[in-house]
Amino acid sequence: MLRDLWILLWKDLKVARSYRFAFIVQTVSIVAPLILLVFLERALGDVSVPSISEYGGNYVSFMLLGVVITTFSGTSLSAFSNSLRTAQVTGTLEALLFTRSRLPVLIIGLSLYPFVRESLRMAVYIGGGFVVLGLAVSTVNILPAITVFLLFLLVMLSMGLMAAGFTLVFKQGDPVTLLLVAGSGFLSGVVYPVDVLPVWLQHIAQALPQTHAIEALRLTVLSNASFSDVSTQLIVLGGFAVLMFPLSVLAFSVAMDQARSEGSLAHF
Amino acid sequence: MALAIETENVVKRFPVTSSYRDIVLFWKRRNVEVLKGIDLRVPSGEATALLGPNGAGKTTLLKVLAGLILPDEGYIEIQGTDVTDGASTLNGRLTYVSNEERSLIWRLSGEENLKVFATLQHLSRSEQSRLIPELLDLVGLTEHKDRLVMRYSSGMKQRLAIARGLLVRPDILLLDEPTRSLDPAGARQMWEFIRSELIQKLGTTLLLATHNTEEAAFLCDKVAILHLGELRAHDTVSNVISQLTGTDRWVIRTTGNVNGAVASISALPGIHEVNYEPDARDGTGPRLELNIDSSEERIPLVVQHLVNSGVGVAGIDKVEISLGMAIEQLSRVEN
Repeated sequence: MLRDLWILLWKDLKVARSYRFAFIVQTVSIVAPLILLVFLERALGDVSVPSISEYGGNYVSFMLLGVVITTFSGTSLSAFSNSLRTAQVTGTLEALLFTRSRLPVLIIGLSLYPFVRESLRMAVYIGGGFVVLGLAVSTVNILPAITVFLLFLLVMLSMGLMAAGFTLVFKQGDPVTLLLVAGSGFLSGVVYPVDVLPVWLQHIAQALPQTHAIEALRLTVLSNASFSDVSTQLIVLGGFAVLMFPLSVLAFSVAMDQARSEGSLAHF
Repeated sequence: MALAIETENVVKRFPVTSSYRDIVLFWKRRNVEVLKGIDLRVPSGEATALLGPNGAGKTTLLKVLAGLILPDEGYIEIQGTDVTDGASTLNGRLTYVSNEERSLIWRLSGEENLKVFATLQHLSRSEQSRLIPELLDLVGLTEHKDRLVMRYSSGMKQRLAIARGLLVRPDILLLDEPTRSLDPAGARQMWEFIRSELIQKLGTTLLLATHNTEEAAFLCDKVAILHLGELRAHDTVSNVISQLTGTDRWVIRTTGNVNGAVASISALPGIHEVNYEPDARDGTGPRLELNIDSSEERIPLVVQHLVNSGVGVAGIDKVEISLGMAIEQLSRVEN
């Protein structure tokens, strides 16, 4: 299995590198936002915002974490469906499905490259946060932060698998990613806390896993929150994971059978 | 001889989605039946051509056999294993080689393509380092192995796709129109390659979808005619021609005026078509062309009738009907 994953990552890296200009732009775009961060820090670094005091009060750190999680959740949501769509459009999907590699391994393998790229971007952002914004390592409670992140990743990947199933059958117009990405940017507290929203919108925001993940990660990274401090968010994310994972596997498998039945695996 | 492929009453319907209404009211969608109860038996080691015009269902049948499309009804066995629900149990015994050039990774070299697919076929590193150069040599791409596939010609891409299919040393090879995008010389080269390397040297069971009758006759022991989703015949070329047409075509060169006899000959039993040319283009004089039932007794009856009508008979020739003509006749009659 690891060899399968590695060869698919190698293939995508090789293909990405063959588009030289795009590869350079992508690489530069990973570090470019650090410049933005420097100027934001100059403009707003000393400003203390009362409404975010429970996260340490520094707005740039607050926003940085929101943006990082949202960007990563967008990648997780769309990686499977994008990779399937790319394989459909380039025409390699049927040939890949005809190998001895198992379907889940193929899907994960085909999505590894964007994940690696986005993980790198996330690491640069967070690293930049420590260097540019002077985030203190002492405020980070690493174990709860990692637990929140992994649970959130599982939820996003499950939803991403569901979106991939949609792509297999309908090819374009995946509503899962559209709703979750559009909804989360507006409702999940990416650049402002959820508390500032009208009450009825706050209720809707609670239905989005990103809201809980962003809040828990801010608390664990910026305010040294413990497992018990973020237990509510962990339970909610765990609930999402328990519900979404089997549901998405089922949905994807139904979509796969549907595409094979309609003979539309290679259509795009 | 053991059967490599056996299908029984395979039916495949595709939904027709021609309007937004079909998407919204999906339970009311109409279906079009593209395979109508296919019964096909291909013995091991035999090369069979699946012939038929565009839209006959050739590619669909190959994909159903490969497990890429699930049948709606029927039963499929590959080397004695039930694979009706997909190809998951085949473990490389059967390979489908698409005519789709894009199924290769164009921005990798030929060798890199084989490396990626060999790894995904779970070949060990040592197997890969032995097999990949061997296959590149077999398909004549050793010199071009480092070139990006996007710089390959159509023929080279097709040969690379075949090499990819052979990575698992399959017993059964499903080839979908391997010469579709090749020029005549390239197609001839491909035929030679398939016959000498795949059929004669490796003894692979071959099911080849094509609409080129010359290709089918050159490469295959038998032909299976697929027409509008139905398997109309499956036998040797000459047997298939008689099965498809059920008639023979004769030319009778005559002396004297035949006009008066044409109507009465047409009325004879077993006569389907009579054409009279008073002055044949080949300069052999007047001639009658007849399309008559395949029966030894018919033509003497016609000759007797002509003689009785005072028409001289200068010669009689049976016209050999080619496979292409027979298929064309079938399409003309049924479309």
